[in-house]
Amino acid sequence: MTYALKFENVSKSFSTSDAIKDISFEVEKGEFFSLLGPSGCGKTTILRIIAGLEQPTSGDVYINEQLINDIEPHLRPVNTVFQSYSLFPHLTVKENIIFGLKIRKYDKKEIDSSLEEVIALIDLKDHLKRKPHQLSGGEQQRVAIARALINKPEVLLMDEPLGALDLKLRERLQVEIKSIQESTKITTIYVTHDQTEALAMSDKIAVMSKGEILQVDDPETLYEKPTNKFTSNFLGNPNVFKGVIKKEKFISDEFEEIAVSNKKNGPASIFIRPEIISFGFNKVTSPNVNCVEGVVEHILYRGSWLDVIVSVNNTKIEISKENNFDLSIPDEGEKIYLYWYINKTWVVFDDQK
Amino acid sequence: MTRNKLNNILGLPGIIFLSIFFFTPSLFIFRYIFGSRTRTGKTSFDKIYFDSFSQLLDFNVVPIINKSVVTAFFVTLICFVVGYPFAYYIKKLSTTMKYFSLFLISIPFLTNFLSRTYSWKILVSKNGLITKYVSMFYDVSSLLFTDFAVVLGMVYVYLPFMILPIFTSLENIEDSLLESAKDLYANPFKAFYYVTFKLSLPGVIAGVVLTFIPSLGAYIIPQILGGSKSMYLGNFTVLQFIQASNWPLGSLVSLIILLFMVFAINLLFKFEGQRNL
Amino acid sequence: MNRTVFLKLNYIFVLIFIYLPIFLMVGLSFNESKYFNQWTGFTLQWYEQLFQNQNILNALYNSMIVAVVSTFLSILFGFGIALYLFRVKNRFTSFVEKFIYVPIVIPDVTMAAMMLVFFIFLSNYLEIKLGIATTIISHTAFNISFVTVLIGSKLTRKLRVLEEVASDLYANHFQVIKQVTLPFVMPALLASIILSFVLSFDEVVISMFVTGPGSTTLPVYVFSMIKKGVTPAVNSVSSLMLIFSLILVTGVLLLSRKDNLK
Repeated sequence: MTYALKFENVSKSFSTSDAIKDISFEVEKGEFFSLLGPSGCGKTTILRIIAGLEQPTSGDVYINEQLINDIEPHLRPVNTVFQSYSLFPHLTVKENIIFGLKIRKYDKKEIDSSLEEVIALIDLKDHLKRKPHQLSGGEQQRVAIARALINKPEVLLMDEPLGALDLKLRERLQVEIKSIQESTKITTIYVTHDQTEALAMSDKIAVMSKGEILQVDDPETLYEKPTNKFTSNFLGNPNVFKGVIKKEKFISDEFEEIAVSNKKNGPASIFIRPEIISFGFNKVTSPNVNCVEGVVEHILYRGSWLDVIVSVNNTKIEISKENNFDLSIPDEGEKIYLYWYINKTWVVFDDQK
Repeated sequence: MTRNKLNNILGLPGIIFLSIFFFTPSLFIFRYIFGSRTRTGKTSFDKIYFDSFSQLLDFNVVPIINKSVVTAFFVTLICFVVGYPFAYYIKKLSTTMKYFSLFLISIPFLTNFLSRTYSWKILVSKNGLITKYVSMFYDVSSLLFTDFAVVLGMVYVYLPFMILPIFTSLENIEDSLLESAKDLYANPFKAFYYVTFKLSLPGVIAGVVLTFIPSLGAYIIPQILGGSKSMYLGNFTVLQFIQASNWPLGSLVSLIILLFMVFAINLLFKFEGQRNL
Repeated sequence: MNRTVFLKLNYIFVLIFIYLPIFLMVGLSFNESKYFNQWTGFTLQWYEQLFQNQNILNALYNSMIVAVVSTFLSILFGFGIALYLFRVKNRFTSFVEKFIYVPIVIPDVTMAAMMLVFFIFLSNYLEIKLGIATTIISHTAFNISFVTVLIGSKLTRKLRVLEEVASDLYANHFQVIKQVTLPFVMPALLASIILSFVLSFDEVVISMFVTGPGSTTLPVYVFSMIKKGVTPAVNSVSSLMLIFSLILVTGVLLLSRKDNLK
């Protein structure tokens, strides 16, 4: 299979720290590939290495099977959308967008037709003569995207492009970016710390922490079947408990017995996502279901849904429910029964890292 | 061409130029300090002489050093006494007036200071306005060639050097701090001293150093306003080179001026460092 | 409020203190009478005499040559050093960053002395005469630092990002400087040019030491005139020099203000 981008055992250390350690992954042609992780995990370093703005300390980087380690940034078929304030202030929007073409001495006809193509994808017709300082943050980022896209790079890099924008604008641009990527089929590497963003837009996500890649999978698999503790914790807002699994039962300080559908024995953590837990006023006994008794402590109003914190056996379990006004939620202080499917209890053994 | 090569081509020519034409000349000063003035005025280097050092004492250089230091001190003091209130006042003005005032102060800052010193000379000479004014109180026919004229002349030229840094640091103090100071201290003077003044200290120190150092090494101003009779470090040095041809001594004194300056700058950075703690 | 009154008076006093002598001198340069306590009429005769004074014209010519050439060299070297310090970060460059301030703060007397002894020493081995060339070299030696510091202050992180963006968009090293760096620092660059010119043109002590007969610069010549006394000739040349540098310095200040607003 031909891949568009390949990292082979790439490490980068700075004088004070190791930014990334022994990173290997592959990205297919036309894939929307996200690097997801908290600040400082090394995701931006990886991006800069692809762009050529940093050199790896060791390891190899390939684009379309060509080793690019020693190729300078301006000679790489890669374009980047930087985080913010990256437009040339002394040029107009149009001049910004066509910068990469003009530098390479494309003639006027080619430039004009490329510009038209890009404008068809990202509507900037009214802004072409303006200067960057006259645009809003969202408009500036769209110019930055157009400026990268017009060059039809082999790999498009995006470094938290929506980080500085407000929520509504971010959501709108997420949709826009995703649809542009789907129609142009440009291989895209997208860096973000926002898991909802990564889950919504990506074909594949690499979850990173402290300079290492912990898991690479498509969003569904990543969310529902995380292979390590960090990933399980990072995506969503699960209830986590540490204990031991013996004969398909989970034992911990908080719980006597919770059934799990995992035959392996050993110390482990279980992850119960709030959205899979149902509640009721009566105990539920069923072979497929775990049920625990608790008392409602807090109800947090989130507008379209509610977070309910329930205290169970000296610990707390959080559940999320759609704010459906027909549903009757027990008041704070009332007794409640929580239950969920046994096979939805996600298990990560301690030796899985 | 690689990035490294380009960077070197950008920077190294200038650095090499400065090494040859600034750094090396500074080393020559050391060489001349240990030479000796021969009868013909040339300098002999056949062995290491310490004549320049003994001449320091013989030629009454120490009083000259004292005079320069004392003068610089008074110049700095006057500049501070007049300059701080000025900076404080314009901070309270509207933005346009504020920057216009700064503009007015800054322009003479860099303008031909020979002309400005000369214009001051006009005022203190025999029939000058200031001479006339002062002679109402004291019996003087001409203020020219007096230490008084020299001090005032230096204040005249160096005052903006004191005002600008103080203004900058005052500007950086947030108004909210001043408000809370008024709440904390019932006495407005205390509020001013403990809060405003203390916060503006970096600017004050910068202003003091920027005034003191040039005053110490000044040549033109004492020469024009003080005449050849008055001896400050600046004109003493020039005298050694141009008239007396005693280059060893001249080099030594110019080095002393430089050392004073380095000492003062070190104090400045030490103070700033302490403040940042 | 007593305090505000005192402050306001001080403010007015300072402004008068600074500008009165200047206005007086300029005014006197138009005075027909040679004596400054009498005003006998408006005249341009002193200025006319200036333009017939060969010594002054020669000195002016020398000053111009020195200022133009040393400014050109200072900008060339200074801009280069500024970029070099911006792009290369190692022990050597942090050393240079600190030492670049020395020519700025060094007393002019000290610098004058060191340039003189240096050139005289060289003249033992090479054909060097004190004159225009040595003055140009000396002026360049201190001007480079001013240019480096002035332009260096504008080489910000934002510029670094823009340079990376340009590289990312296929600009080679020369194109990055031409298309991005230069436009970005242009106001500071222009300000440096004017500043270098003014500093060189007005420079007295160093020039005094390192020029030779026939290559006197204007300030040195005017200085000798001033030492002799207060005359209308000095008034007029002094006023002209003042106004000339006033215009240039105003330009520098306006340019740097425009830059700060960006």
